[in-house]
Amino acid sequence: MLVVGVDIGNSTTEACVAEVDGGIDYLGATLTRTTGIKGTPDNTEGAVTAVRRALAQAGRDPERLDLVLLNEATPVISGLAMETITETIITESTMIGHNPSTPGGCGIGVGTTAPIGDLADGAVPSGPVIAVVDRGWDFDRVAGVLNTAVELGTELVAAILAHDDAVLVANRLRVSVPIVDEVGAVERIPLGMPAAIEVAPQGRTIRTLSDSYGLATVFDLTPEQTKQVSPVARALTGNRSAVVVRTPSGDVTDRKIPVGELVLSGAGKTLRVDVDAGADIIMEHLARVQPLDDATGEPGTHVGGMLAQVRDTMTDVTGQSSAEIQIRDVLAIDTFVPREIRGGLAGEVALENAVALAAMVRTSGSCMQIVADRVSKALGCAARIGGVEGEMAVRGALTTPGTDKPIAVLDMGGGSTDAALLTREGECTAVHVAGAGELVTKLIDSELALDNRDAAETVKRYPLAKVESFFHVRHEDGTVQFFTEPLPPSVFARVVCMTPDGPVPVETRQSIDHVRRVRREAKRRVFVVNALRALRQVVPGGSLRVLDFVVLLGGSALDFEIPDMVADALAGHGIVCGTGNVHGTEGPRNAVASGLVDSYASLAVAVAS
Amino acid sequence: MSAIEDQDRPAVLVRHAPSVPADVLRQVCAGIEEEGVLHDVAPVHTVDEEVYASVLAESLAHGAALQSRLDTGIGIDGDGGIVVHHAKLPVHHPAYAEQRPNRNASADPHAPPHGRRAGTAAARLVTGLPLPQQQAVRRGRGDELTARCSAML
Repeated sequence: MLVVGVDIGNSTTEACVAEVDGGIDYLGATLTRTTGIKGTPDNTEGAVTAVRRALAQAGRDPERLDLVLLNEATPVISGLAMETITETIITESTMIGHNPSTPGGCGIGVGTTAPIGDLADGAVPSGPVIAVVDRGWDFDRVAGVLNTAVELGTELVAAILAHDDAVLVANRLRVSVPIVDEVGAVERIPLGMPAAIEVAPQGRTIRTLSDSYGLATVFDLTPEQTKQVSPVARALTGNRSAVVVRTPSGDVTDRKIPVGELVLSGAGKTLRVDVDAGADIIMEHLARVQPLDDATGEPGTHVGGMLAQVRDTMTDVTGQSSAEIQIRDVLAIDTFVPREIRGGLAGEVALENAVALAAMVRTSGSCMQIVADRVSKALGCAARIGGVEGEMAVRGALTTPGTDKPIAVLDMGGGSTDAALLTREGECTAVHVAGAGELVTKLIDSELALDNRDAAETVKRYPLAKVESFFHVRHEDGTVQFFTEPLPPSVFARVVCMTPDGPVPVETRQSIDHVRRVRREAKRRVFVVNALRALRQVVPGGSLRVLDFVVLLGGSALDFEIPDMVADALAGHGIVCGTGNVHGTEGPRNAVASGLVDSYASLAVAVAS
Repeated sequence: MSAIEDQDRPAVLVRHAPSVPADVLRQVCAGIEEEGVLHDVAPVHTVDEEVYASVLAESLAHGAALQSRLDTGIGIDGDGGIVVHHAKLPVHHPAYAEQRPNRNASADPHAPPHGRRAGTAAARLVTGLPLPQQQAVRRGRGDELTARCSAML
């Protein structure tokens, strides 16, 4: 009899065709895009497409089809929220700390800010002067005016330019002074105020203005004032050039936004945890209230807003009222978000701390029976729900060569990470935890300040390289690759993702090492953390030592590095871990669809005997 | 920085039609200098007036790149169209092109003066930094005309 198993997942619908007559003869597998949201009647169309395609590939007549088996989709939906918990604000314009690619001169200059227009008039201000050059001034004219001013007796100690002209002006000046250029908001620099400019030699970073006591020395500050300017020093660390202008009312505040408390209830307890405390503490508290019944946030705080946002999304998707929606798992991750400093003059960014929360909601049931009825009508054959997702996944995973019971599977998808365990006795337990591929994409997007989900997805999926010439790239592992056709100039000297369509530049000034670190850390914090967390929940007693075989399944098991990272983390527990290879041919795909067919066949055999 | 006195100096070679506006030339040189790279400027006199301007800049740039010890050259035609070339690139695929500014279009007050970006691009080919954003490219090219240009150089 001809049977097709169909697995409707969050993003793909997979089908597996088999002839079941005493034994099982697998005829082929296929996949297509899921139509509609998983667990809704809209899935019918994708399921029918998958079945037809699988039959066509196997060369079987659709008329002869006897039975379609669907999985009971676990009604789990995930949501994400992210909120910064610190913010750097400069209340009066007091600093410029950016890295123009080419500052001029080097050293430190301390003096009073004066517009170049004043110097052009032949006036000689008393004391050391820092020239501020507005837009529209040509570099030759700037150098001419400054040279004349110096001849007339002006003590010129530094200059701030609007255009990218610092090296040009420095080359034409008869005195050697530090020059900072590409200052976008030059017109907002307070004039007639004490200021300091520092430019570090090539290959170095500034030393004085990025040090609190350095600032105190330069501006002759009291201990109280030094405390106030220490955020300035911190914001300037790592720059090659910087400007600090001291305005009487100017100060930088490092304000902490009240994040609020997360209320976790479960296992007969209710725990409150400050989100400020960081992801580790939150996860520790969460472990103590397993299994979680619900999570709420203090209204009027950030965390309250974040969870409300998740609930709202769920309400839209499921049509249930927000009171009915219960958050059954939370994954908290410490992250940082580059944000433009309010009050900065050259688009400076500060890394603000943030917390990302992935939350998982269990809905009150799925519409799988409706989907089964519709599939049956469309194909003119019987269709029924053949089994629960987790159990079916384990059965499918068992067809991977080299596996045996007890076996655990980790299904790493887009929205949630699922674990299931099949004991030697044939008992199956399954859990779902929040956070998977989508969260990784979101972390990469915000930490690299890409502000483009598709670009972040590309960074996640493909290895990096640096284009070193028109004919070769150096991959992130240090090897080089030669090209016979010249690479496009738009990728020259850039960090790129090596996609199948060629190198795609990553829009960042960060080094390849930084981008790689962000990518790997995002994957580690989501998938490695979740793999351990999910497996501990399915294993009796929570000890990973009793596990022998762990099989990785799902779209993220096809990633070029996630399986290795998870395997490394599990190796210490004496576990054999690897990517699933369903039927020895299908890779980590099609496990659930195959499991459905397999489960049906074994039942049929049991009935027959 | 004047004429071709020291052929061996590692420099970006700038080759231009004699009628290039002085300010364009100055900005191209400024772009190179700001990035800390040397340049060497000389006019090329054997110009066939019928030749398409953009093709001329392309061939001038490629010829200059082949002569440069840094493998990098800039060609400027009489109207101020600029092409940046690298010796290892095919003649029709220059590294960077900066069109003559369209006088009708309202100029962006924050944009660098014409020629500056091309100079920056040439210097960055040498130093191995990402090139400035390329403007929309419009090129007219014909192989026959290019062949005539190349023959002249």
